[in-house]
Amino acid sequence: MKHINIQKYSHLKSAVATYSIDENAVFGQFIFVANGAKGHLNVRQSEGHVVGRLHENFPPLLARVRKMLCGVRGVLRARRVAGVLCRTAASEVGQPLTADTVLADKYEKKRTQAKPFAKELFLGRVDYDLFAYPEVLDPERLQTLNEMVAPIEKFFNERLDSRAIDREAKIPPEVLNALKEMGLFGQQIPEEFGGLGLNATEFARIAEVTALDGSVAVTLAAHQSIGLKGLLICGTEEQKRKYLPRLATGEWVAAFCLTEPSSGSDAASIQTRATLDKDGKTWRLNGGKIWISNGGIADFFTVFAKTEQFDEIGQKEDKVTAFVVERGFGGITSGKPEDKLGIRGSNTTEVHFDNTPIPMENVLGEVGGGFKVAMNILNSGRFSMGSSSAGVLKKLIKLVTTHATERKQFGKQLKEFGLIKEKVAKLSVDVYAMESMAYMTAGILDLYDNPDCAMEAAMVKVYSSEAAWTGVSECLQILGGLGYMKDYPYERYLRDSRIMMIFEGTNEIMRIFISLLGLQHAGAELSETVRKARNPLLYPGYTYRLLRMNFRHTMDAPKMNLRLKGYTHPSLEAATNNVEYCVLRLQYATMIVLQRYGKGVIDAQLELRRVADIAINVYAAFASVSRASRSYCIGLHNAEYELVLAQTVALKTLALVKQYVGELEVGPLNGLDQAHMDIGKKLHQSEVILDYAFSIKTESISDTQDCVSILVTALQDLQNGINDIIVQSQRPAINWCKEEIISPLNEVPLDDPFHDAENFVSDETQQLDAAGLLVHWDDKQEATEDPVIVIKNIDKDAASLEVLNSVFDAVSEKSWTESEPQEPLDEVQQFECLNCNETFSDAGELEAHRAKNHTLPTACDLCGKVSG
Amino acid sequence: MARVLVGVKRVIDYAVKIRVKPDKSGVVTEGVKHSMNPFDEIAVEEAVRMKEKKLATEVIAVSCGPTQAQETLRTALAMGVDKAIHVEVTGKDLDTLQPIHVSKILAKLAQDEKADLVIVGKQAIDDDCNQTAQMTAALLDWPQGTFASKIEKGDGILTIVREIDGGLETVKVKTPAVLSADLRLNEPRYATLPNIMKAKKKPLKKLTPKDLGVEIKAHQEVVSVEDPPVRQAGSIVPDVDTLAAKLKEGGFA
Repeated sequence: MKHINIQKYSHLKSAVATYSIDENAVFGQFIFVANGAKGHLNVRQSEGHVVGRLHENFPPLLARVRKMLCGVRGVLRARRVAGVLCRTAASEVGQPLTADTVLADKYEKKRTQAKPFAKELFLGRVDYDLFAYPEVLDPERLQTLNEMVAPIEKFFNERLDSRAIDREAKIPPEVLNALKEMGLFGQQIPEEFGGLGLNATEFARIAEVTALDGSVAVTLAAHQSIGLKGLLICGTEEQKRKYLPRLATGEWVAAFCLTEPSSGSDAASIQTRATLDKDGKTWRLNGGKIWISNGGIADFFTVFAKTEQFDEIGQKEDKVTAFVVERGFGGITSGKPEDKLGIRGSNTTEVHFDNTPIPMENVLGEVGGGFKVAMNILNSGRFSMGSSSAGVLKKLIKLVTTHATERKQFGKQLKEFGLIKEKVAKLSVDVYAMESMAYMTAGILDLYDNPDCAMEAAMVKVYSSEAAWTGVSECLQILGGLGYMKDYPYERYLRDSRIMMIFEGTNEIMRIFISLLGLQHAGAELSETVRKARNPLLYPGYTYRLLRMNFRHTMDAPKMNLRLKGYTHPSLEAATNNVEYCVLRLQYATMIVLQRYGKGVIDAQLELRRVADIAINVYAAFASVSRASRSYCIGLHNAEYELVLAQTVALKTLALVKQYVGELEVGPLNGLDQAHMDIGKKLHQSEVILDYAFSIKTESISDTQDCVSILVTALQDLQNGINDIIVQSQRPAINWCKEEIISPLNEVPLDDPFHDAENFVSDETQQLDAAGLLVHWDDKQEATEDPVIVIKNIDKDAASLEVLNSVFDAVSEKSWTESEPQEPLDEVQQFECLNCNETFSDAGELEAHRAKNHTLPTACDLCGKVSG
Repeated sequence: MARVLVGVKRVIDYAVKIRVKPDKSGVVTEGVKHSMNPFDEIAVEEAVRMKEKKLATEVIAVSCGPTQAQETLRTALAMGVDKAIHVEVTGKDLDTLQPIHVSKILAKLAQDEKADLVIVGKQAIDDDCNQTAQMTAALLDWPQGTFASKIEKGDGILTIVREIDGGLETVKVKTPAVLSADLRLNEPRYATLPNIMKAKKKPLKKLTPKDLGVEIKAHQEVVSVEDPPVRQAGSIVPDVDTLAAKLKEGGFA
C-alpha cells in the first residue's frame, strides 16, 4: 500500500487516498473524503491503460442528508479528486490514461434542473454541477456514435460534389435519397417511430459532419431542427404515430412555415389566417409564407396562422395557432426556388395556402398557443449551430494549415509568419469555445428533464455564427487570391456561413433576447435589493454591504466569493479565476443597467447589446475552462493543448468584459453611443449625406436661400484664406445654384474657363487649374444621391476674387427676391379656349372670354358645360 | 446456397498522410484514423449482395488484430454481415503477424464454420502483400479466383472475370473456393445509421490464434521502414537534342 502525495493539489487537502501497486499492473482502491463527500475509486489496468471507475458511497436513503450537508459541490469535488487520483496513479506506473476513465455511475435518468444555468449567471451565480462539464454518453453510446460518424464523413467526402450543388442550386435527387437511406432524416425521432432516437449531443456531433455541405445541412436542419420539431415537442400521440414514421425515413420532407413578407423578426404579426368552417370540424387556411426552406420539396408543413379567439372577458382577439398540414390537403402551391447568396442548393420557396382544409385534429398544441410553440421550436433548434460551425471551421483549418506549410513566400513557409500564426490560433480558440458551448448546451438538454435552455441556445447561435463568418473569412484570407477563386471551397463556405447570422432569429434579436431574458430573471430577484437600496436609512447594514460591494466593483476588484477554482484542475487556476471575475462582472453589469434604466431598459438597445455580449462570452469561457479541466483530469489525448486553448478563451473574455463593463459604467454619457445615435438619426432623415472627401468646411443646406447664403459665406471664407469649400445640398437647391450661379459664372470674361458648365468636370479641369480656379460640378451621381458643389483650390488672386465676389453679390441679391419657389408650370391648371387656343388661369375668365367671343353653344371639353 | 466467410483488415485510412516512426521500425499508428481496407470493403459488399440475391445463406466476417479491429467488424456488420469473429492478436504477436498466419486462421475458420466461399480483398493497402487469398486456397486445397472484377454464381460453379495484364480472363471454378476482390468488382455501400444501430445486436465472437491452433511465428524481420525519396526538382532543357542526350544519359533511351 502506498500513499499518494496529493498535497500539491490545493483543493484536495481533505482527500485521503491509498492504493497498492504491483510490478506490472496498477490496481487498487482509493478511498477519499472531499469536502464532506465520501467515495471510493477502483483503479485497474486494462489492455495497457489505467481505467478507473468512481463510486460515490452514498446510500440512497442518506442522499438527502448528504445533499443538505455538503451540496452538490461535495459530489463534484469527489469526482474531480477521482480524476486527479487516476491521473496520478497512471503517471506513477508510466501508463497512459485512456478517455472516459472516470465515470459517474448514472447516465440513464434525466434529472430535474434546479436552476436555469445561463440566467443565473446574471445574478453572479454559477452551476457547480455543470462546471464539471456534462458527460452524457456512456462508452458504448460513444462508440456507436463514432461508428455512425465514420460512414457519413466518408459519404460527404466522396459522393458529395458541393461545388456542383452550389452551381446548379440543387441537391441531386440521388444524393437526397442516399441521405434518406442513411437515416439522416430521422435523427432525433424516437426509435419506436422509426427514427434513430439520438439525443442532443449525438445530434450535434453528426451536425458537425453534415455541415460540410451548407445546402445539405440546411435541408436537414429545416426538416428536423424546425420542420418536424413541433411534432416531437407538443404533438399528440396520434399525430406522432401518423406522421413520424414517414418523416423518419425521409419519404416525407418537413418544412417550417412562419415568415411572411410583412413579418420577419416580429413573428407575432403574421397575416396568414385560419378560420373554422361552419361545421366546426375543419379549419380553412389562407395566406402566403416566404423563404420557406424545403418549401418546394416538403410534404409536411408546420404552419403558423392567426385564429380568432375569445379572451377571458369575452372579447375577440387574434392569436397564433400552429397547424400540421399535409401537402395532400390541397390548395397548397410553392413558388420557384429563390436565387440566394449561399446555401444555394437548399430549396427555399414561397408557399401559398388557398383555402386549404385542415382537420380539427391537426392543430399542434393548443388553439391560440401557437406563438409559444414557434418559440419553443426555434429555441430548441439553435443549439446545433455551434457544432456545425465548428465542423466546417475544423475542416478549413486542416486545409489552411496544409497550405501554410506548402506555400512559400520570401523564402519562408507561410506558417512561419506571425500574422498567419495568429490567424490560425484565433481560429482554433474560437472553434474550441464554440464546441465547448455547443456540447455543454446539448448536455444540459440531455441531462435534465425539460430544461430551461433557450438562452444558452441563443448564446451558442450568436457566438458560433459570428465566429464562423469571421473564421471562414480569415481562412480565405490565408489563401489570399486563391481563396477568392471558385476552384477552392472558401468562397462557398463564406457565402454559406453568412445565413447563420440571419436565420432562426437574427443575431440582433438574439442579443436583445438574451439580455432581456437575463435582466428579467435578475430583476425579479433584485427588486427586493433595489427597494432596500432605495431606502438606505431603513436598512443601514444592508446598505453598507451593498456600498462596499459596489465600491469593490467600481474599483474593478470584486470579491471573489464563488470559489470556482476548487472545481477545476490546478493548472487552470488563473483561467478559472478569470471566469469567476467575469461572472461577477456580469452581475455588476446587470445591476448597473437595471438601476439606470429600470423598465426602460427595453429601449436601451446599445446597453443591452453589451450585456448580451458579456454574457455570451462568459458562457464561452465557462464552458471552455470546464471542458479543458475535464479533459485534463481524465487524461484525454491532447489535453495539454486544450488547457492552452481554454486559457486563451478566458483571457479573450476577460479583455472583452473589461472593455464592456467600462463602457457600461460610463453609460449613455459615452460619447460614441451618442454620436452613433445622432448620425443614425440624421441618415434616416436623409437630409444630409456626408461627403468626407477634402472637406474643410461642410454645411448642409436644404433650400435655395440657404444655398446662396452658404455660397456667400463660402466666399467670405475664401477671402479669409480658406481654400477649399464643399457645399452639398439636395437636388432642387443645387439645380437652382447651377442655373443661377454656375451659369452666370460662365459668362464672366475670365479667360473663359467655364465655357461649358455641364461638361467641364472631365474636360476643363486642367484649364481651371491653370486659371487657379476650380469649380467642380459633380452631377454624375445617381439621381437618388445628392449632388455636390465643390469649389476647390481657389487662388487668392485678387482679380479672380473680385470677379467672383461681384457675381456672388449680384446673384445673392437676385436670389433673395426671386428665390420664392415657383410651382412648376406643367402642374398649373390651365383653361384653354377650344376656339382660339387662348389660355386662362381660371375657369371664370375662360367663361367670360367665351361668352364674349364665341357665342355659339359649345361644349367645354374640360368641364363638359355647355355655354353660350 | 452458400455460407460466405469474408476477411476484413483494419488499416490506416487511405486519406491519412503516413508518417514513419523516427526509429524506422514502422509507421506511426497512434492517434491515426483507421478504417476497413478498401478492397475488403468490396469483398464484404459482394458477399452481402450474394445474400440479398439469395445466393448465400449467411455471411461471416473475420478480422485478425487488436481490440480496435472490432470497430472494423462492426462496420462490416452494419453493411449487412450476419455475424463477426474477432481473432485477437495483440502486443508482439501483432508485429509478427504475416499473411501466412492470417491464411492459416482463415482456413481453419472456413472449415469450422463450414463455409463454401471465402472472399477477401486482393491486397491490404498498408503492406500490399497480396498473398492471403492465394495461401488460404492452398492451405484448404480449394480452387481460387483472384482479382475478380465480376462473379456469377451457378449451381456449384462460379464464373469469375479476372483483371489480368492487358485484358480480362474468365475462369470457372467449383465451390468451395477462395476469391479475392479487385477494385471494379462493385461499389461498396455506406453503412446506414439504422443498420449501425442494428449491428450492435448482432453476434461478435472473440477467439485467439491459440484457440484455432495457429502459432504466430516470425518468418521474417523488418529491418527498416523509410519514407519514399523526395521527388527531385525538374529542369528545362533548351531543345530536343539536349533532351534526347539527357535521356540517354539517364539510361531511358
